[in-house]
Amino acid sequence: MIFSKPRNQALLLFLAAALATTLTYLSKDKQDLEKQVAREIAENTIVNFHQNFALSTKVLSAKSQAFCINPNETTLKATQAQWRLAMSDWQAVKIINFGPIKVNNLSWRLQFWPDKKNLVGRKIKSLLKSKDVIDHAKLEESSVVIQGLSALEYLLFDRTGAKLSHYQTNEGETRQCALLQTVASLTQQTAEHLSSSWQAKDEYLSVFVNTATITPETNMADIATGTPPLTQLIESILVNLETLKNDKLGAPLGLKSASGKTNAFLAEAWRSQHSLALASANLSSVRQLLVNGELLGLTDFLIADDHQALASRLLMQIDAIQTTLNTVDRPMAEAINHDESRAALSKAHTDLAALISTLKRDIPIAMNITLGFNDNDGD
Amino acid sequence: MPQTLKLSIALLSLIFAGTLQAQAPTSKQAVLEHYTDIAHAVFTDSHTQAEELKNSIVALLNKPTENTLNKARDAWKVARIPYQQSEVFRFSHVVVDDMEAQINAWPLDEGLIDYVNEDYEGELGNFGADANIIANPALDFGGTLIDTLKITPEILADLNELGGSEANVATGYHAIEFLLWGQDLNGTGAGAGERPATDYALGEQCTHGNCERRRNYLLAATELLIQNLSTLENEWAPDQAGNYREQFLASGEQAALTKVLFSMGSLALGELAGERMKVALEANSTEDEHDCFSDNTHYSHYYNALGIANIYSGHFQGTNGDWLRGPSLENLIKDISPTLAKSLTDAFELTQAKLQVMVHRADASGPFASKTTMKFDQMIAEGNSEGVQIIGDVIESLVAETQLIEAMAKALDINRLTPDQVRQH
Repeated sequence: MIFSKPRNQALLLFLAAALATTLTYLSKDKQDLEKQVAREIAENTIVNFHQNFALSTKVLSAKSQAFCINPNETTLKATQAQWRLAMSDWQAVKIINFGPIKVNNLSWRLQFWPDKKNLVGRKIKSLLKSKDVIDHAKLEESSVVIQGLSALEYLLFDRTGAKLSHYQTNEGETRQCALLQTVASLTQQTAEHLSSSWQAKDEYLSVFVNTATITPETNMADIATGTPPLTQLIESILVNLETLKNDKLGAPLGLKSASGKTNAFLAEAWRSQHSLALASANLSSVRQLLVNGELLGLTDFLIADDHQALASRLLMQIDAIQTTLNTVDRPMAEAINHDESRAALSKAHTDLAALISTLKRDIPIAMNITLGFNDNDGD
Repeated sequence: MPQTLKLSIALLSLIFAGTLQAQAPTSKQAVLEHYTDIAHAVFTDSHTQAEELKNSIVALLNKPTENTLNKARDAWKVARIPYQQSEVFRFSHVVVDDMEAQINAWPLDEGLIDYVNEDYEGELGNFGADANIIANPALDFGGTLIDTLKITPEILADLNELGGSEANVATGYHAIEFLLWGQDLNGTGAGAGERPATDYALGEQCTHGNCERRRNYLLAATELLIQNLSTLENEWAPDQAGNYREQFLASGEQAALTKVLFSMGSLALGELAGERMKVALEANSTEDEHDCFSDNTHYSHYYNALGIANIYSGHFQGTNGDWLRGPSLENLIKDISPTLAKSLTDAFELTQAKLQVMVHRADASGPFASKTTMKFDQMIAEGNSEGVQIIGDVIESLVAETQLIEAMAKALDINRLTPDQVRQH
């Protein structure tokens, strides 16, 4: 059974009954339920996502330091493995594309991708060649591309840029190690800042939960009322899934271009060969956000609003895509040119389109909400 | 805002709306018809200016001097003015967007077309990035030989997006821009591309080799641009059975309005504020500058945004100075909520004002007349706080404008800002 949250079942039944009798356009009860669901999602899943990321980047920073003290195969491998963990945790944090992460464009400071022109490689090479001091202040005023996990991937995995010898020579100790450690510690600092912004209950979390819903009485010009929390969440999940479909799977598969030619460099983590695991982590984070563990989630809100079938369909669609992704047992660079794996990835791509359609068309109708423009609406 | 205040404002709006409706309410159909009139006027003007561009290119080829080259460059800049205002028609109308790949594709790996500096790097994994069509009468592309002995508009159209990479742009405004200016090797410093006119000279005067092929390329690319713009002009022309305008107007008022608004918001937010400004700014990346060879980016942005405002106001001024005016979204919204209509007008004006600052600063004109020029690629340099402020202000006003476009959609009972027929990535 998909929904087994006994602790809340009674409440849900009560609310469902209350809604059934009094439901008008965005009734008071429904707004209260929305607030409660939003609060529980924020306090549980969203806070957890951020805590996990803060912790894994902290360990990554520590491992980078240990590696630089003693640069060898073993310490490099340990640091690479920790980068993969931090990157998985980032998949979850990245979904929450509103609130603190918007301030100072932290999302791009944590990951710059897609990077078709190899700006990451180019800018890092030129910084390493220069005589500029490498410290937090320098990075913070520099291009976002030399900050965060994308820069760390280059420094830890690039075939030419991350050679162990770069870290073992004198020159490496001074510059390449300095850059690795500085980027890692700045990443940790940013992750911690994000995490604490979501935990300080009087600040953003409360703004998020209490943003007024636009009702027929709302003055249309008064757009400062903003986006109600569950609409905000659905919009953010939608943007995230569109990126997963179009960029993470579609681009390397060649589905974005007319000729259909595959291109492994367009995968999310081509340097570390970790793209598929990240796609899977991404999808499972979306699921966690919808369900919210034992607490009330978006799916529960749909059920309370008498949309049980829609809630089930949403989760079944996600699970089917996850199963398909799990059948691919080779890295993305090989999978896109391997008949069977390619077929599986194409199927995941098609099924993601259907999932997106559920979120974009069916859910807004069911919840009587309007989705706004997002950054993917454009070229 | 307290609920009571909100309610009284809403009531007041209704009363105002009531008095206005006593006059002549604007019909959605009239607004949509005028919308297609603007589309037709914009593409006609783009077509006309592309013909002018061709004339100046023919003059350049007849007598390649710095003077004729500069005249061609000026004609290119003028040709961009109506075209940039046409981009607001891209994102909902497949007929426009499909053609866009040939007309305005960007960013491009210019090494596909002609000689480039040794530091040049193309898009990752793009095998066409340094194909250099001008230097090669045949291309070996992953074992497939492509005959490029004759450079014609048809051949160039086929070479566009060669090998499936969107960076392989063989045609359109930016290919022509590259052929007129050459690479901008100044990074975030002052200066644009510095291609010499002798790149088009015949015989011994020819610089950088293959001048004959370069001449053919420039002319063929311009002819293709004219053909493509003419196609779009016809798609929007009145009284032409079976063209896109007819389909669009028959598609139902709500569906058509959804397309109108979706395309406005998509250009404002995702494309202009996002792809064309924020990426370049945050990454300090001149690779992501829109008109990177000519340094005309400030004007491209200005006219993109003006194109969006045109749709709201129902006004379009052609290159010849003539105005087209008619029933507009503004009239429609005024009938529903004068407050919202005013907010929208203010938002579009604010965006143009902020872009005017960008233009003045770029050209060192107006309030910046005493300064040296600061083009868009200099504004995005690391540590340029003045540039960050100017671009940031434009982005912010575009974001606010997009939120009001969403409010406009709600006011028009559009509940889903995703038209049924948009290009799927």
